[in-house]
Amino acid sequence: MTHDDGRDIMDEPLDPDALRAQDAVRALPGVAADPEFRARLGAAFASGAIDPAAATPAERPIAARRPGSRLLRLALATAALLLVAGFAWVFNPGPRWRVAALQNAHGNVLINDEAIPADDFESINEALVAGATIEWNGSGDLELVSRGQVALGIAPGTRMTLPAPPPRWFGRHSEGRVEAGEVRLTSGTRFHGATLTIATPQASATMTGTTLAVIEEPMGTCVCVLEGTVHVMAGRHDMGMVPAGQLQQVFADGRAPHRGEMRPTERMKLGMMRAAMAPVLEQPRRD
Amino acid sequence: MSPDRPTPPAESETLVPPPSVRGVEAGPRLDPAVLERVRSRDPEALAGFFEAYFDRVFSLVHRLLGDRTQAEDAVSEVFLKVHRAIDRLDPARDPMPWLVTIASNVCRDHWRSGAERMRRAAMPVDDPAVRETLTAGTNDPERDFVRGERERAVQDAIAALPEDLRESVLLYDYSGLTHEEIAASLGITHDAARKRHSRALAALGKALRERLA
Repeated sequence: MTHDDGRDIMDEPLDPDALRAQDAVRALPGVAADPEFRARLGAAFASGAIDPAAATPAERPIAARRPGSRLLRLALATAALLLVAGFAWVFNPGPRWRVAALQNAHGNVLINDEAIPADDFESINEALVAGATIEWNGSGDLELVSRGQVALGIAPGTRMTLPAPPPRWFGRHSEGRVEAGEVRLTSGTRFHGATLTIATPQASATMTGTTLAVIEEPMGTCVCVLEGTVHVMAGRHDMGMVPAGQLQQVFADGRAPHRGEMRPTERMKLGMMRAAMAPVLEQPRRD
Repeated sequence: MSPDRPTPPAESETLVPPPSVRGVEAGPRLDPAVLERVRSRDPEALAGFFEAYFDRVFSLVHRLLGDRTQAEDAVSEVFLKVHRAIDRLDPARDPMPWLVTIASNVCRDHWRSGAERMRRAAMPVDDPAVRETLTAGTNDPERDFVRGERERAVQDAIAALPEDLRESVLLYDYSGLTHEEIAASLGITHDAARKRHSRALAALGKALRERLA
């Protein structure tokens, strides 16, 4: 049973201070969410991308083996050994980093301390070389892609050293570093067989064909894995392989590292990144 | 991140939501035909559902947690759970109490987490989100300033309450649930819910005595 104003009749009487406090709480207005966050979450909710675990994983096509008999391959290898070796050395480096075709980032990006507007794709592409330091404080994620290999999303507030795109054929390992902020990575079909390590002040995470986030925050490093497995090291301590759906935290204050379920927000952000970047990663080569 | 595993959706989160009463933030209510399409995960209907309820859910979660980043994390988890359980929604009932139950469960998981214990020392008194309200200002800057100061004082006092009392006053007075609904959500008796609410208001009244007089 209730009073006309909805209060239960059996409520004990409130003193004047409590009544004033109650009125004050009832008068509190709503709190506005960040419009970009709201729009992103709404789109994910409506499309179903909010729950990547429920989506049918897109089949990743396996690269076709070059056809040919063993004898033919031996003959070709013998005849063209020096030429192939020279060709490979020149063309071994992976596809250059490029700003992704779809981008919601606004502001200036600092590359090797030079400020470049986020919409000046040409200048940014030219500056994106292995070892470049990137500092991004604009709005939206800065999204880079090494075609066919890996897509890299850089969140606002991130300072990092850009890894080389994994080479195409040999020496297929590259390393980058995150000093602060958040990066998200997802690999493409041509990444198969390569490794990419992202180091932070506390830890390092090595991906081998995965979708993951490396977050460097005041508490320490958090590595969230959406798919695949990621090998995490904390200094000389081997944290082991972090499987899909899990996170590994390495704390800056020396507390015991923690393994647990990945953050729901990361599950959503990484799922959306994977879905959005898949067509960009697999754009046909123009050269 | 805490070693504790987050609580899976409780049974009450998937049952038919109890009858709702007029809430302090009553807003547009979707008709049963639309809710039926929501239940079948029609994307357009889901978008409409999100538009109808997100602001109220986010406001509650933000008031409960007191921090924008944590509120965004938590409300993302709320809508993930909603999406997973949406086929069990009863189109004949107002979804708001069900959403509030899920939101308060998520916030309770968050309070139990190690990350929250680490962050509670830095209560964001000046969180801009608290100042960016949905109400339009008046043409009286002085009145707007006084109103803003009053709201900050109330939010600070709420944030300083123990979590169970904070939850009680926000669910009843801010989100408009009845004591029965709150009791069902928290797994306590109706009497316990009422007493908790009375204690919350007594504590708030004491904290705000000088500011609201």
